[in-house]
Amino acid sequence: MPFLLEIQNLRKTYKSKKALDGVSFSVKEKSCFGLLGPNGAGKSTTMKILTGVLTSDGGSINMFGKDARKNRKAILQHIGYVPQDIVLYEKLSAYDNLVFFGKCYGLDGDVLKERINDVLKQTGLSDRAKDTVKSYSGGMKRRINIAAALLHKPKLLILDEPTVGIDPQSRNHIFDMIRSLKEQGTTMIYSTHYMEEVEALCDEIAIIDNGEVVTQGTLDYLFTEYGRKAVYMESKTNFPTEKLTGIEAVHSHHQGLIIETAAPVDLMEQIIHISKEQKILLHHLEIEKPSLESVFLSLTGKTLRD
Amino acid sequence: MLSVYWNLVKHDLKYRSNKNFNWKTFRFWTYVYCILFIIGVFGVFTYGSFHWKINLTTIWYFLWILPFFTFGMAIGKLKDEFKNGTYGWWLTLPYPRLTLILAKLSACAIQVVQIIIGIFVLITVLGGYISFLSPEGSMDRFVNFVKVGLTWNVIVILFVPIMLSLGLVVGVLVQSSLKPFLGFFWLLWGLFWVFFNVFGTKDNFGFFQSFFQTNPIRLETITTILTSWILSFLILILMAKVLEKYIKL
Repeated sequence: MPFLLEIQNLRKTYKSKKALDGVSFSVKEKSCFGLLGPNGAGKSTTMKILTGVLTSDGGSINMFGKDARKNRKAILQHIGYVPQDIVLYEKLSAYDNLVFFGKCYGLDGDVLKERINDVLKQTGLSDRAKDTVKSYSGGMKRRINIAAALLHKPKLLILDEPTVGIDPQSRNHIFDMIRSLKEQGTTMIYSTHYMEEVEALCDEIAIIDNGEVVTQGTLDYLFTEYGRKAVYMESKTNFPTEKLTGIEAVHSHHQGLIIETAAPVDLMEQIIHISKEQKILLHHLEIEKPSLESVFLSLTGKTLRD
Repeated sequence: MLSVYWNLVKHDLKYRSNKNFNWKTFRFWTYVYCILFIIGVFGVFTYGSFHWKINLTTIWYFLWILPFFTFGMAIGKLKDEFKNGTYGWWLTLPYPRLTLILAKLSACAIQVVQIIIGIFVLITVLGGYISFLSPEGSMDRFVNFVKVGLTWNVIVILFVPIMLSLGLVVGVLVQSSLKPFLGFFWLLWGLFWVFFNVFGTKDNFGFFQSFFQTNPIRLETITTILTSWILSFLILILMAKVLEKYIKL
């Protein structure tokens, strides 16, 4: 699959603080690409540069096969941007907001009407279209914001933390929308600090921290390369972990222990064997499912919530 | 492209973007103050027409307020986009920054011209009222008053672009990493007014006084207006660059 977007060595400095320090990643066409990192990692700055709000201090962006610096206007016509803050005119109805946004992208007449009806259906807000945005919940506003970004049928949809501060119903609706857009072949960049969202929606992920992309790949690749291999166990009495071989680290977790190892199946066999031998009652024993949290921890030495 | 441009202009004309501002209350109090002001002005001039000697044309000095009003309006138009949190979207529109700010200033210009016309009508009515009441009033005097007013109003309108551009300088610099230059701008701004008001060019008057007290339609005026337009355009281009390269978000 060809790349729709290629970023090389992107740099941005605010006063003396390096917001982006050589960010590089590439996004395949028709994929949902996750940009995962803690607050202040550089996600929003990257998004703002991609959408032309900010200019970079260095590096290159190639989008749709064109140099983004030289073809800003042409490129922006194919981008839909959902910013972190809701951008709607509160006193207007959702419909009037969409008319305004659509016209800004050169849509008019029947084409605009048709597109508005389409995006309202996609967002599930057709029946509330004539209500003023002021009367909407945060989640509904966000959905209309996404609808506005979709009006001109962008080739690339950029979503900057679209689920921050919204209700679960709207969150699920947004997830369904993203899945359906993916099926329709829209390429998306999804920025978030929620790992579950990236795991649920994205085909490929770049982990960003301190203005640098620390790794990029599919979930499987990241789990295989960087995911913590471990076994979780709970027992009624203290378990003699010192008798286990091939372990790398032991952590307390809830009522049990997480034991890191390169060979989890071997370790489980050892635990079962020792339990039988010493008559220790095991409540819980399982291979720990790899998570992006552990990938992030192993790559940066800190958790996403730090 | 033109339809998109007008869509942006119309939007700025039609909708107040500041969602936290109570426009209903603002409008109500604006009307109250306007009515009180008009009643006050007509009251004072009714009394004055019988007891004082009124130099009608000096009423047009009220127009002095308009350049400052225009300047403030341009600052506010841009500031609203940032205050409302809509700048993120506004700046991602697939148009050059120059188009985006030009649309805002066009909306401002239309509003300012509407206000100037409104003030012109109001002052003309006031002048007619005074001419009618005053024992010294005459039709000739009133016609001359309207002619002077018309000239000055047109001149003020022709200076609207430069005032809007200067307002834009403040609006843009505040949002950019070049904010420290704002102090320099205010210094120049102050010196500009001092220079033209204090240092006279004719008969010991300051430039602006002499400008209004002699015939304003002269080569000097036309040259100044044309220069101000060129300067406005250069400022616009410069501010579009600042908005592109030095915006601080």
